[in-house]
Amino acid sequence: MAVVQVGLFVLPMAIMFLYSFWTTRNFQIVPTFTLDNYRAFFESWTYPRVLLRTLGTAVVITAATLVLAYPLAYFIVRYTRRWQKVLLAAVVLSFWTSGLLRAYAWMAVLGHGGIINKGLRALGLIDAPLPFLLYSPFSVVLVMTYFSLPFAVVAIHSSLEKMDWALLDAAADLGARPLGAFWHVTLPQTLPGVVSAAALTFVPLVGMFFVPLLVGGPTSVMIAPLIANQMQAFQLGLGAAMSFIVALIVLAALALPWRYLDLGRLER
Amino acid sequence: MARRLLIGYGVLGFVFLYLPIAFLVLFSFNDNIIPSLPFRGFTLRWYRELGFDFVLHDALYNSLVVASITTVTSTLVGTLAAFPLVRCTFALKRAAQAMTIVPMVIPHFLMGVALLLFFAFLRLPLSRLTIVLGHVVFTVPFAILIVSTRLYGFDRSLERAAGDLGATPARVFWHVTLPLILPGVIGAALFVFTLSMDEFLITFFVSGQKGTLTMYIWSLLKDGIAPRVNALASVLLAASFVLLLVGGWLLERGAAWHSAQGRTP
Amino acid sequence: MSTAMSRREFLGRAALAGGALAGATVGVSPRPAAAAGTVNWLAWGGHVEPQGIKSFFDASGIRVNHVGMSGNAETFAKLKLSGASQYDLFEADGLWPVRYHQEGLIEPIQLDSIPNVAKNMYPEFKKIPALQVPGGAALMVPWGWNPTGLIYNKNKIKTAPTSYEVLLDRKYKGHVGFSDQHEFLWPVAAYLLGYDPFKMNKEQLNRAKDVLIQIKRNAPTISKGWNEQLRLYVEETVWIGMSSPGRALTVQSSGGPAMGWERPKEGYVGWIDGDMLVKGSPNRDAALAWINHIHSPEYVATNFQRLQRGSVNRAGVELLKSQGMGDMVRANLMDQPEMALKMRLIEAPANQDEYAAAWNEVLAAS
Repeated sequence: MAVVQVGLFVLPMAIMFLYSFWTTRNFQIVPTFTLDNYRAFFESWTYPRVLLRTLGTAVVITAATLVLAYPLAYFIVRYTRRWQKVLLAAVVLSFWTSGLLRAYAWMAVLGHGGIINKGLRALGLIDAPLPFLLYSPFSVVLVMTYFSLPFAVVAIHSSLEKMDWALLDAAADLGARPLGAFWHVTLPQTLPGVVSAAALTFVPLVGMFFVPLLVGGPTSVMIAPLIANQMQAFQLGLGAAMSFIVALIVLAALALPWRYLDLGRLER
Repeated sequence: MARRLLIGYGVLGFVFLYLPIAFLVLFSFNDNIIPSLPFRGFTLRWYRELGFDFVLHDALYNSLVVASITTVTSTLVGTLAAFPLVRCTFALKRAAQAMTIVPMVIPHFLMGVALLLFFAFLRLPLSRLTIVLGHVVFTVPFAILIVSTRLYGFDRSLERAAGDLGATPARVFWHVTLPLILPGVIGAALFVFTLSMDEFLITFFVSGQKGTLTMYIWSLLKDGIAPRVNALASVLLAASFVLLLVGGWLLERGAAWHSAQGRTP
Repeated sequence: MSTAMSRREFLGRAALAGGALAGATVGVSPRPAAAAGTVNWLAWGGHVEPQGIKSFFDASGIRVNHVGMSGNAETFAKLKLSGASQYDLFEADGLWPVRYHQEGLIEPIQLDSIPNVAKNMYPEFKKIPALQVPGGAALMVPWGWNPTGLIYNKNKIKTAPTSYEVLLDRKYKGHVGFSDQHEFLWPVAAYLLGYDPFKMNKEQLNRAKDVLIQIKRNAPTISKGWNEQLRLYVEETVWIGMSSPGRALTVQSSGGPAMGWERPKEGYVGWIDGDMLVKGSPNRDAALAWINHIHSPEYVATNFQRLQRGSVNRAGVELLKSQGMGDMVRANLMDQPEMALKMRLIEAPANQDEYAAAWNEVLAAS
């Protein structure tokens, strides 16, 4: 096991780190140590801007996803005894469908000729298609939230499940109103789940590749497609350096709630 | 009142989750080249086109081969790795646990870039093997996790009893341990298989001349005028659904059988 | 154990069928093992005709394995990184074959040694000056060609545009096409500024990138591939952009508005694409047989009816005319091969890294 993990994970990461110190010239690799790639990254505002844009968007979407996922998970745990397995399976099934195709479907729904626009026009509510539905910050946030939702729901659900519901009943008996009970009992109890859901939502968002590419506007290029472009243009050194910087950020994001993420919490 | 709101929200949530999927299925029957309204008429011709699409068949075949090899490898490695992680205490255990989680959550594009550079460095040409390697690295943690959950609740006294009765460690494993963790192993296998079939980003970076299904879908989305993509999506959805149903049913029966036998499922 | 379903229980329920399915599929192949060989063809997705692949297989037993490509520079980078030995044929546009030849990746072909090419190709395309080597062999077997000009929605833009400046016009904000194919965008900026599109130095690139950023701001999105562009034109989200005469027709035939095509006065580029034989290919004969097959009139006619662009194959063009497609042939300039040789063909810039860095700036700009 250790061999596999080291061989396929640590080593490639190490090689990537190595490449970040090499440059390429006209489709040839120049294996001399240099800090040029990192210098190029921080020199102009171009690349950091994309990274910050990506991180900022990821934070916003993580927050939105958690806010939206929590009630949904709550609904599944509390109000659907009989159908719970089915519903949870339905949540999982929705993200077992190819991500590419779901993103593509959103383009069809949100586009000028898409359902929403056509529907609103048919109802006479608007004259011309709403431009902001697709290729805008709105569509990026909407679709990226859509992609993060299932995972967050499952993560929060498992945490909600382990909660001692008797505490809630006790709180009610003591005169607490629903909202207060939620804030003082439910939320603290499920906080570990929420925190780990946050980390597990944030990280893939940073690495989102095809969603911003397909539904994003021309000014919302994110870091992952930018890095892919580097690789395709044989700018391997720069691509590796950018990847390494992103890797550091991702590892930091994972390290923060580390206490909540270890395998031990699976023990009942 | 809060209850009704929450239920309404729940329903809305599921509608939201399935909205694009519903449209994919809808458009797959639409007699219109552009995936949009108006709905020009019901047709099965996009599904028929799938039958003639030989490039698709090759891509599907490649995906299945890669997924199968990945499943066998990752499940094996994951199952074996789960034991020491759950049962033993050793120095660097926390580090090992970290090592386990990270490849699972790290963004796939990062993994893809690193692997591409790694293979280039080794001068290993990109092929189905490189895709398999890429898939194994991020699925092994899932396998470990799933099998571990099975191991955590495991009653070791059963193993000890078997040992006391004279069974060798190998027989103990084969006849006692394995059957009891089997649902976990199978669950891990199924999960890994699906993860591998759907994987796009790592494949994007490390595939060579043998494209997979996801790469084919990507090329269709980019280059072709291809309404059959919707038909493909619907078929894949139906297949996942069936897999899920059958899996659920089988494991239900497995658990029932175990309880009937008086064993801990 | 609680009766509520936990995640691990659920995952546990995720089944046996998967394993069974996996096991069953490993042994199954979609087609019987080919006795006669394989051809690994790295080519533009649009060039693939599934029926043609099937008829070739039926006739010769050779399987054609198609791998998609997305751009000249990207393909070149991929081959440099992971090796060319996996492929037997690759495709490129314009003068890129020269670059491939410089790197020793390809083997020039005697065009007349391929029967269908000798018979069916317009003579003009057999002797493209820049693609010849001493001895008469060609670096690539041409396939299709197109000039890249302005296409525009006739309903929304009443007067035909004659200059690239229309792309910068703020009046069309949100309605200008901008694709991720940077090698067709640099010429726009270059011609507006009076530079050579493929020989811009760092300073010139700096100014060119500002032009492209301005155009980008007029666009709703950076489109990836023709499929998306087609939808944008048909839906009338995009009214004007860079493309070829045939694409204008495709938009119309896909239910879209009437489109016009104009050659910008500042100048324009074009491309001729084609297939190159990989040096040292183990499937050389099979590869040449495939080239022979695609240059049959039937394959050409089917493909170009769908693709709508200039063709190098006279027999195919004649076949289309005899099928009543005379208008389409004319609109696509298919029977005017001499036009192809008047175009400025796209090529690989010598300072590729500087172009790549400048393109990054264009992408990243907000």
